[in-house]
Amino acid sequence: MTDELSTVFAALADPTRRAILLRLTAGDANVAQLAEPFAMSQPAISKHLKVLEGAGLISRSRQATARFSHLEAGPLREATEYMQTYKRFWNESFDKLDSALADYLEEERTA
Amino acid sequence: MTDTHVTMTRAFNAPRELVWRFWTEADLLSRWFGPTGYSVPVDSVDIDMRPGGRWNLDMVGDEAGDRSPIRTALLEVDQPEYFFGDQLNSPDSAFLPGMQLRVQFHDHGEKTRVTLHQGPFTPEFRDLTIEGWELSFQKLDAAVEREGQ
Repeated sequence: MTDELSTVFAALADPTRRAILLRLTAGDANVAQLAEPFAMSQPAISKHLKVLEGAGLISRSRQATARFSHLEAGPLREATEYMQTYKRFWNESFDKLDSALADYLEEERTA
Repeated sequence: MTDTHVTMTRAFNAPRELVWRFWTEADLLSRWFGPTGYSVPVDSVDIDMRPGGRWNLDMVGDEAGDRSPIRTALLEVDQPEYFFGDQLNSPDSAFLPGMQLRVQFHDHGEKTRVTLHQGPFTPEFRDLTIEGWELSFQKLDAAVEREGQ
């Protein structure tokens, strides 16, 4: 696992940050807009945005005086893919368990 | 949205007692465990289903013969319903150390539903992974030193 990837997982570990990412799937937003659904100050939201930016999950641009956050899908996809390897592991194991159980029960019936 | 744990669930067409045995008895576990292309040698399975016990096995690649151990220290066991443990560090470990594995078995009509949680994928997990790498480097250093003598 790469260091970048663990930074992504660390960033995703927080529910507020996941909610922010979810909001950004609907389009770019500034800090005031992102703070709106939370009982949190704009500086607190800014801290979360810094973490997300550090993990490469968002990028921020300046338009006049407001900074707009933009969702970056790449690292999120990489993180999901890493967890997908574990899901594949279990899915394939479960397929094998399914047939192993069927074989066992069939043997028992015919024994 | 991505979470910090992998969650899997599936219903199996067998009674719960039997599904539990397929997870906890060496000859039955070795019939299925591991992804496609991997087998579990029955003599690599070392299981002691109690808190403080272990759930250990090796997976071996059918083609390359590569060996990936799984070493689990069991923290909670409630037969035939539930077990929960820590993935321990071991060289070439199949599951990265620092993660926990939780497996639940529920009656689901005539079937048995198995629900599995594995994780977390967090910074602590990264630190342990780095430790794992350092161990590998130590082994490499030792091997290079031996070659040089």
